[in-house]
Amino acid sequence: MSDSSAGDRLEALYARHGPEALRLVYLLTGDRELSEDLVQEAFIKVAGRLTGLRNADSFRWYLRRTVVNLANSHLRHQRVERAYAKGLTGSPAGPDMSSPDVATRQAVREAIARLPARQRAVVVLRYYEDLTDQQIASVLGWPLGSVKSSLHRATAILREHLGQEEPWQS
Amino acid sequence: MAELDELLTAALRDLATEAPALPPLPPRARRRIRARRATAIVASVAVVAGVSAGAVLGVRALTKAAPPPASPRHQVTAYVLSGSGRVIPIRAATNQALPPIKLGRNRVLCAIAVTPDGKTAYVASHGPGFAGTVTPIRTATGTALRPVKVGPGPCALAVTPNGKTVYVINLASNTVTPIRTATNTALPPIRVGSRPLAIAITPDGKTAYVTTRGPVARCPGTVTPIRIATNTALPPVRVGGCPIAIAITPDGKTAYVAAGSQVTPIRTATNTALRPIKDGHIPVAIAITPDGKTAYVVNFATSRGLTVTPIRTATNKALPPITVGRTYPQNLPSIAITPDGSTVYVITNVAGPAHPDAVTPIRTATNTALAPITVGRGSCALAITPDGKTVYVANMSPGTVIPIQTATNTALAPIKVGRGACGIAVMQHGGRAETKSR
Repeated sequence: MSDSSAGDRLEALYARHGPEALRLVYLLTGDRELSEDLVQEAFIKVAGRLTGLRNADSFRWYLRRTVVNLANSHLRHQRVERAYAKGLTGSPAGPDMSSPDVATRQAVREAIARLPARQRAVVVLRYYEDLTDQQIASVLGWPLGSVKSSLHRATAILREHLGQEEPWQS
Repeated sequence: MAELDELLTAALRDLATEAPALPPLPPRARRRIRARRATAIVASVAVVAGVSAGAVLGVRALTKAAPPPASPRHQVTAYVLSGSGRVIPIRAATNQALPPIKLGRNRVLCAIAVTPDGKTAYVASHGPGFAGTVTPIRTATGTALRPVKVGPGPCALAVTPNGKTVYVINLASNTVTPIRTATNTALPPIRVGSRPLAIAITPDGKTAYVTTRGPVARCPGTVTPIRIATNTALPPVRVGGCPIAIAITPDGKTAYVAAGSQVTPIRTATNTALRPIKDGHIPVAIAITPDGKTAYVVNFATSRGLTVTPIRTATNKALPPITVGRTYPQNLPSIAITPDGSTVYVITNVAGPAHPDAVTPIRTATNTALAPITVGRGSCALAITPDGKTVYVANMSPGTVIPIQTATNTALAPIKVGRGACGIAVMQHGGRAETKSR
């Protein structure tokens, strides 16, 4: 394969999967610049290893796994939780709080921002990426039980922040 | 407060829209990828030689582990016909637009249908001089295949339940072109009555019904049945007015045709028209509930704006009309019913022609209209995901698609798809397809 066609394929792969990975890492870190860096780093790692991969779903899966791991690693080492919370709650659009829907959504965003990084990752993978417990365990490389307990703890914290009762209490 | 699950999903989707745009891949990144690939090849060779097992653990971890199957919602994609000859796929799990599939800048995209297995979408379009083509799109890869030439002015298409044939209405030549999906080749066109407009196929796949309006001045109005086994047109059935829409009950026994100022049922066993159903309004769109018990007909009612009339299919009696809008939407209203049959969604306009259109939900249990949901200007098509959780509404003027969560009937953040968005189909990979053409 010539260098130019390989370059074109690389560009196409990046254009196809990059935006999705970028949104995911932004949800995990809340930092726009950091998201751009991490998604490029993840793409280099995955594209650099999977030379003969033809299945687009597999590439997407590995890219997702890599960005989540990179983001978690970064958060663990750099402790950017505060920056995340600030980034999340300070929406650039300045939400209209007069609408009850918008106010509720903003409260949810703030509650998610307060979660520890590991729990936030589980919440994002479940409610944004729509993954099952098994799939989340595979992405994070955790035992299934850890995923379930993290998710349980995270939703309990979110309910507490949002003033919601547990389903069995209503 | 709504359920926590829905709140979290909505908040995260909302937040994801604030993510930055993807920066270009810098040359340095390309160099690093090439260098890593060279290392990986060397490592693979080492595996074959049976040495240095520890050095290749990373490679094996990536290449051996098969990705788990995606969750069902992950596999749902909505395809939107947009301006400049582009089809925009939208991933339902995240409500984000994927890279466009370009069919040619000078092509006007007219209609879309998806095969029942969800593997191929067919898009009818025309270029200069109404030269018509249908382009198959492989949904797994999002790639357009070689276009199939059909007659001039293709305006509607339908796929047989077994997925073997697509029928394309050629408005400008009064013909219907069958396309064999196995080879994507057009078969000889079938001549039908003049000005064909809408098509529906019986669930047993034996007959296609095509509405044919006839000469403009008189508009005698007929429906031409096509026997699918032989691709021959049968004698037309008179329906008493200009037919504009058609829907067939799930049991395949009755076709309901919106024609002139009445709805005419056709008994498919004998291809005979039954007594027309009139309630003084002008029907323009029809949808039938999945249990086949009720047909919902959208009407232009001069005194009451836009109404929806439920018709009990067992008796062919019209129930009292439900007012859903004070004025008419900018385009022909579109209607869809959730797979569980609980709610009907209709494009309406409640505030006046100068204001954006809306979507009004109707609870089928009580036949009552709920609060309208404002969507955008020039709303022209809507479609519901197979799980019934989301309604997608295409809006021409702002060039957006607005997802509506059916659990709460709230509109989510608009998805930009480019001006001229009109026509939408929702499909599930390897499963059911819900199609709504323009």
